[in-house]
Amino acid sequence: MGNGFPAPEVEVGRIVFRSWEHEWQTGDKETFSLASAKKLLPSEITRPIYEALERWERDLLRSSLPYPPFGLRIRRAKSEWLDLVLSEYNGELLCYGLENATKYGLEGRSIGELCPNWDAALPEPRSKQGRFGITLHAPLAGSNVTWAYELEWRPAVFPEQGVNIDDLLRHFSPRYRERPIFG
Amino acid sequence: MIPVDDLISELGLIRNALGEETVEPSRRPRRRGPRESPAPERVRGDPIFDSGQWDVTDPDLWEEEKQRGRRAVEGDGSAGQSGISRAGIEALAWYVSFHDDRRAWGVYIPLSSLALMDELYLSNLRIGRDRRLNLAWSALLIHEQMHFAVDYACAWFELVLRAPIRREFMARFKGQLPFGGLTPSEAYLEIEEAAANAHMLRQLARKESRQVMRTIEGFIERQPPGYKEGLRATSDASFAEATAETLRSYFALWAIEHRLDFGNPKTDWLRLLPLDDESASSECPVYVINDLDEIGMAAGSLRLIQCISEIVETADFEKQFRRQDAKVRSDWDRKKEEIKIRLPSPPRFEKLKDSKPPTWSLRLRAGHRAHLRPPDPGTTAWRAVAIGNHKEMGHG
Repeated sequence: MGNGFPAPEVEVGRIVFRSWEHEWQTGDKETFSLASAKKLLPSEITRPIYEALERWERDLLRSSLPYPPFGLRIRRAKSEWLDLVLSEYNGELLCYGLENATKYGLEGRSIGELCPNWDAALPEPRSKQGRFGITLHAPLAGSNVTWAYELEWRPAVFPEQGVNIDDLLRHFSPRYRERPIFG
Repeated sequence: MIPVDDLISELGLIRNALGEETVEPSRRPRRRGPRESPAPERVRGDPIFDSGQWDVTDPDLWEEEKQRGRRAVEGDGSAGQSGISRAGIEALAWYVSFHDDRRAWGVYIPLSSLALMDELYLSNLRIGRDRRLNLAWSALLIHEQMHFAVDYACAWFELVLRAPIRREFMARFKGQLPFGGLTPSEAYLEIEEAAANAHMLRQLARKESRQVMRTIEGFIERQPPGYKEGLRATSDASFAEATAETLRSYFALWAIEHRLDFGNPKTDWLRLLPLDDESASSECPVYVINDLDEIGMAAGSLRLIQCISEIVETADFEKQFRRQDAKVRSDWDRKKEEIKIRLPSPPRFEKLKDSKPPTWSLRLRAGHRAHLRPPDPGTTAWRAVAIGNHKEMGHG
């Protein structure tokens, strides 16, 4: 028996954090959270960037829910509902503008604008050999912040625009109907 | 608190909310062969443990089971090969959901688990074995009570939303994948196990010494992912977050389905769990399984004493009894009836240290005591062997 609601579309994905510091330390470009990322520079240098990243991550977490046991998260597909709900937060939580770093003051900004004395804090030498023969370069103060650090909602199921929730609920869906054996 | 039986009746009206597991709930998942599992016995209240007749009858099997138990609890790779399908605390005790088994739901704790946990993780504590067994019991029970609390919270939401939340959730862990491309990355809900172990630590810390807590922390530290994260979830804030994330994990699809804002960080999810509610805890049946022979121990090696339903008064006792004040005699008559139902907690009923043969002291009025000895092998009645005041009984 249905509940009267149309089946919503959902996005299934994961939050990914890309950080040059993490790659420099581990060889891995990405990790799954800010807390799990390895750091290289002193926090007093990078604090303005990480504060913005923490807001960004908090909003990504806020607008999605865990989907075990796959290590994934789900959220309602870009649609009417979340925009409506989240507008209640006076724009504090622009759920589906989250991928856009502009909101957090990172897009189009250079690292040096946010973090004074950046270049002096960089390791020497400022490049080193990474995995697969790739040379890693420490970003200079003039580099874009989003070249060095970025959070991303990465779809894990396609089409990424939305999966019908009934595909996830299967026979537990309130709209589920047994298929007749004949006809 | 709404009785669970009432919840179950209501859940029965929701399609797919209740199921019937085919697995025998009292069967530990690791045992050898198709032998019949021992019948579980319901435990009410706080039991008392007596290991006065501790006897390892098959040392080889005992050693083998210790190794097997360690691998299961610590979740090393070889555990699966030996047929152990549960890891962490769940290798020692488990909770059967009322969503899966309306008849036999509850917490199951085998006596063998208490013996193994004591031997493997608690034996360095400078307290007597009976006390350590009691600690093992408490630790396992409190952990499993967290799973009951989550089960209860799920049921509450299921009634509100008319949705089979728990069974849909568990189906994902049982390999029923919605898409071919999805790969499970955890065999159990790790955050729930962290919350359950954190709950255990928080509860035990209220009454146990620092030394005991360090030992329990060491036990948790050796457990698999999720379980061991309980060590970092004991503060009020981190425990609340672990609990919230557990419930969000269960409810996520239904939150989207019903347009509910479950991600709101200002919601106090802990309030939905009946954790500090004693009447709620007593709603969850607890069963003990006497399976000591399966680990190479004599059946009476470890006894869980809930009540004393049969007492024989020895001739010496009767002689001393006749000398007592009328009020003391009447108190004994009353206590004899009370302990048929439930034993008082220590020190009102406690084993006398180093007593041979093992003797228990039951406190009566005005500093008086009665001394009781447990049944000899093959018998069922306790023996009342002495009665008198504190000094006469050698307590002073």
